Amino acid sequence: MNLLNVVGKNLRKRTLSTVLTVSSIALGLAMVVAVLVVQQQTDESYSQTSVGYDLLFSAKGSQLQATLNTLYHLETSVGIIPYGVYEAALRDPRVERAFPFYVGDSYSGYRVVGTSSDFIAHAEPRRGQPFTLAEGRNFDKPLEAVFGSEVARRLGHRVGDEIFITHGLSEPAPGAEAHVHDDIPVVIVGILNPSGTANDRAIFTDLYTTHALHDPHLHLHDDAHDHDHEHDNSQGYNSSEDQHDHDGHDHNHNDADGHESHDHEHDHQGHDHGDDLHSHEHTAEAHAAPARTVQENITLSELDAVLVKMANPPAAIQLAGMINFPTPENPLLARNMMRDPFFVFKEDIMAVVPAMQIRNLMNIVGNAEQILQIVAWFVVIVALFGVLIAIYNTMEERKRDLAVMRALGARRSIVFAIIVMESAVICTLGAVIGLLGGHLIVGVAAPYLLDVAGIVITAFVIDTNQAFLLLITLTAGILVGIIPALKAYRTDAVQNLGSGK
Amino acid sequence: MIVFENVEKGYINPETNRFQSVLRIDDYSVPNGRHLAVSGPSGTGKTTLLHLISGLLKPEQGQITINNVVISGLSESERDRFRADNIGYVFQSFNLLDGFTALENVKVGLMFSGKGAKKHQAEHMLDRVGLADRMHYKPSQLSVGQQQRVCIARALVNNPDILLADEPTGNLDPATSAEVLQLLKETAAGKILITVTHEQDVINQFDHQLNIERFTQPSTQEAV
Ligand SMILES: Nc1ncnc2c1ncn2[C@@H]1O[C@H](COP(=O)(O)OP(=O)(O)OP(=O)(O)O)[C@@H](O)[C@H]1O
Ligand SMILES: [Mg+2]
Repeated sequence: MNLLNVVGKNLRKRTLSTVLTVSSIALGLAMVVAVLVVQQQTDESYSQTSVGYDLLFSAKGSQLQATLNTLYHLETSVGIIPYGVYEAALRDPRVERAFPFYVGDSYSGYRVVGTSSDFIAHAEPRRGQPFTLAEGRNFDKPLEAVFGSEVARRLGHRVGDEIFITHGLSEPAPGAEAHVHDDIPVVIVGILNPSGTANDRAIFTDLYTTHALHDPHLHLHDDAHDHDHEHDNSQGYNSSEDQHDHDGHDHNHNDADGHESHDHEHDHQGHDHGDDLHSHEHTAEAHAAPARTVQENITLSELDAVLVKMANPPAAIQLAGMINFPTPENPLLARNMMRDPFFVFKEDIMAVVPAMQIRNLMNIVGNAEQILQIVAWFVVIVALFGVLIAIYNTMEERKRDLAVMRALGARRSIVFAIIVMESAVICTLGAVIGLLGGHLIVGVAAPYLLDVAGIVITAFVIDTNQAFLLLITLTAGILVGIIPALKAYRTDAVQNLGSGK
Repeated sequence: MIVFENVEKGYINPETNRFQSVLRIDDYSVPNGRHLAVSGPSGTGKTTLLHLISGLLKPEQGQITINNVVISGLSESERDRFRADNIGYVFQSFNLLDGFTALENVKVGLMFSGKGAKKHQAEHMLDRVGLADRMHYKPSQLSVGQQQRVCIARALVNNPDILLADEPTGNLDPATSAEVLQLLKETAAGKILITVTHEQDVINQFDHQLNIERFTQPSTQEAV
């Protein structure tokens, strides 16, 4: 028997009160923890992703939308820009690296991003942390795809699986016919390790693949496959349909995205299609053919965005200014500007510094989070008062017990400690349950947050901040316990023994 | 050995707001091993006397010495410690902690002492008071006589030199009363046992008796 046993007994004696007070503390703490974890990881996720690129070019429109679309795979594309912007970026000495970005298709609800293999090889979804492959290899020719970790995990896909990409961003409504490009099988050649960014729920493929998907007149097969393209534009995707020029298909390979040497002798026999997940009648040879056809038939003409990493990052602001601000009246200044290789695209594109967009967004989100945080703490404070009142109210009926302990030789400081410990135990229990509960909330909410905000949130990562929360709650519990404990301390043993009376 | 020298104890009378002397003990001692019955009319200071010995109360004047320790000169927490180590207390109203089993109640008696008494002594004491088969019963599951036995076990678990009992049989029927008294006297063999009682049957069981009126201040008796 020690003091903690006595405290435990006392708490169990009043089960209902204990359960209620512990739950109220737990509720408050769960809210605090959930908000804190989401806040921390949102901040981290948003700030870390954006540093991968200094600048992005997109069609004129909302800068935030362009940022969210390219970096977080949210929203729809602002519009399309000429492919030449990417080529100009590749040639420009100010640009260290440039990645094309072409979207509008999806697979099982996950976005398919058309880009260059450079993106997987060199883009840094987090500062100093390039993508790494968990399985397989980077794509290096059309109709190959690399899956983000989350997509592969959720859909249960593995390297070698063959998929059919849907034109449009979302799953079709039930009943409506899905627009599946079932004539273009895409093979999964690699699966990325988790990066903790929105890229984990994206699928990456070659620009030819996405262009092919967008080209309603493209017949990849020689047979008279009557492909009735009634593109459903209700999803808001508007990048390619209207402005598409389908007449000028020249078959020159003037692509500049690293596919200069098209080795059509790739041995596709090695692909393992024994996996029955996606039964199809394509033979290995059959889909070797479209790979050749795609490049022969498609001209890369448009993009949704170009992501740029500058050799000298501060120069991004200057370049953005040139693109975004109106051409000065002063012919001298204007002439200077006209020398810039991006000047010719000035009317078609805008330049966005994603870091700035994210900072603005985080300020707004941060305010909301702060309000939530205050509300959560308010719940904790109310719960602490609940603990105080619950314990205080028992003091009258416990005077006799305390007096008995005194008669048995307990010092006043010991009865004081017993009461403080009761409060501390309630608060600590509540805090621990709340901490776990908060993480549980986060765990349950994580997939939802991933879908609506593109943030990968990991629950059950306990850090020092949360340990600190436990400490704060414990301290608050002790402070709250002091008030009833003082009453216990002052309880007169002689008067409350009731001996002989 | 308990020695009273020029002890005066009183209270602030809540009506007159003045100090009112209750007991005055100029020279009195209880030798080791003595079993003493204290009697007297209600309100004459019997309980007050026990509280003075246990150190729960401190006299306004004089000194009380127990086994050569002047407990009236100790601080409150020192007296608490002294009580935990040297004095067992049995009350009329049983004062067991409810929600705690018989065994747990006895173990609480071990908590505050520095004597390092071991857990098995709690079981041993319950066995000695005849409750070996009731150790895990809560007070509400025990008869009144059994509850009083638990109190005796708790008071004795630290092997104190002095056992104080304030009307220990006050709530018991005559048969149980005799049993409990017998138990008290047996377990307190060799120790000082001071039992407050107003029952003549009980008084008669003791070789030594003290009528508290010997020390009661006249004003108190008038008030009564
Ligand atoms: N805290 C107190 N304040 C004022 N007077 C008190 C206080 N405690 C006891 N007294 C007074 O001291 C006197 C002795 O009280 P005590 O409890 O010692 O009597 P008692 O002999 O044990 O009586 P009983 O047989 O009824 O138990 C009483 O007159 C009582 O009114
Ligand atoms: Mg009394």
